[in-house]
Amino acid sequence: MTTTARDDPDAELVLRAGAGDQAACSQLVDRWLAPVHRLAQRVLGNAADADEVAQDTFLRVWEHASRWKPDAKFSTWLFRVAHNLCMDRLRARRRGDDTLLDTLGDETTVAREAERAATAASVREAVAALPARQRMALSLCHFEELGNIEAAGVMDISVEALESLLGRARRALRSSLATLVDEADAAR
Amino acid sequence: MDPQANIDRLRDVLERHGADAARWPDGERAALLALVSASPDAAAVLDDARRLARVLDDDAMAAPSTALRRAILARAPQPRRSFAAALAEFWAALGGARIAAPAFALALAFGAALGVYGDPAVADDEQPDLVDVAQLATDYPDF
Repeated sequence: MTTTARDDPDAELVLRAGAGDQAACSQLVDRWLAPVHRLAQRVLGNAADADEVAQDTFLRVWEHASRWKPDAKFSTWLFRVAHNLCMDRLRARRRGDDTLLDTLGDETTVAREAERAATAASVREAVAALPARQRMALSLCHFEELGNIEAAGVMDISVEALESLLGRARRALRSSLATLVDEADAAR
Repeated sequence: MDPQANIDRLRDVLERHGADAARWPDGERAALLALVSASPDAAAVLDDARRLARVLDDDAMAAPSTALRRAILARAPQPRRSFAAALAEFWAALGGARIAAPAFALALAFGAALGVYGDPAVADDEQPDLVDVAQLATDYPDF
C-alpha cells in the first residue's frame, strides 16, 4: 500500500468513534456507508443483501474501533471487510446451489431494474454477468476509484493479478455493451 | 516520441487503469497523451475507452436508506461513563431526590425508632437459654 496509514484522514475519526464520540461515528458512516453499500450492491446484485453487508461491515468497525491500530489505511481495511463479507455470501449462495450467483439476483431486483432506464439495466446486467472477482475489481477501481495497489490490498491479490482481472472485465464489458458504447459515441 | 508509447501499450494501460489519464502510471502518462495527440488511431482507442467508462457510469446505484444509517449508528460505541456519572444515573433511576431521598430518610428514622423503642426483653429472654446450653458442657465444671 503506497498510501501510508500515517496519512490516513480517517485514523483519528476511528479512534474517536471507538471512544464513543457520536459525531465521529456519524462522520464515518456519512463518509463510507454509500461506497460500501454500492460495492456490495454491484457484487451481490441486490440492495437487500447490500444492506446486510453494509450493516455487518460497520458492526466490525464499531467492534474494532477502540483498539484500532493504524497499520493499514482505514478505507483499505473497511473495503476488505466488505469484500470478505460479499465473498462469504457468494460462497453461501453457491453452497445453496443458487444459480443466480452471477445474475442480477431475486425477482424483486429484476422487477426494480425493469423500471429503471434501459441503459442502466443493461449496464448492470453486463456487470453482474462478470465473474465475481472481476466484478469486485471493477467495482473497487472504476466505481469506487481506489488505486490499483490499494484495491489489490483489499482483495489480497497481487497488483498484476488485479490488473489482469480489470483487463478481462473491461474487454468483456466492451463486448457485451458494444451497442450502448457505439450509441454513446453517436450521442455525444 | 517514446518508442514504448504505441497503440498496443495504450490499450494495455486503458484496460489496466481505465480511461482517466490521471490514473495512468506517472512515467507513461505524458508519452501516451502525446501519442493520442499525434495519432488519430490512438485517439480513437482512447475515445472508445472513455465511452465505455461513460456507459458504466450510467449505472447509478440506489443510495443506502436513512433507516439503514440509523440502524448502523444505533449500534455505534457509546461514550464511556465515569463512576460518578453512573452513580448519578442509578440515583436518578431510583427517583432522584424527590422519591429516593425521602424513602431513605424514612427507612433511617424507622430503624432508629426501632432501636430506641424496641422491647429489649426479647433479647434478654434468650440469655437463659444460652446459659442452659453452656451448663450442659462438661468442660466447664463451675457450672
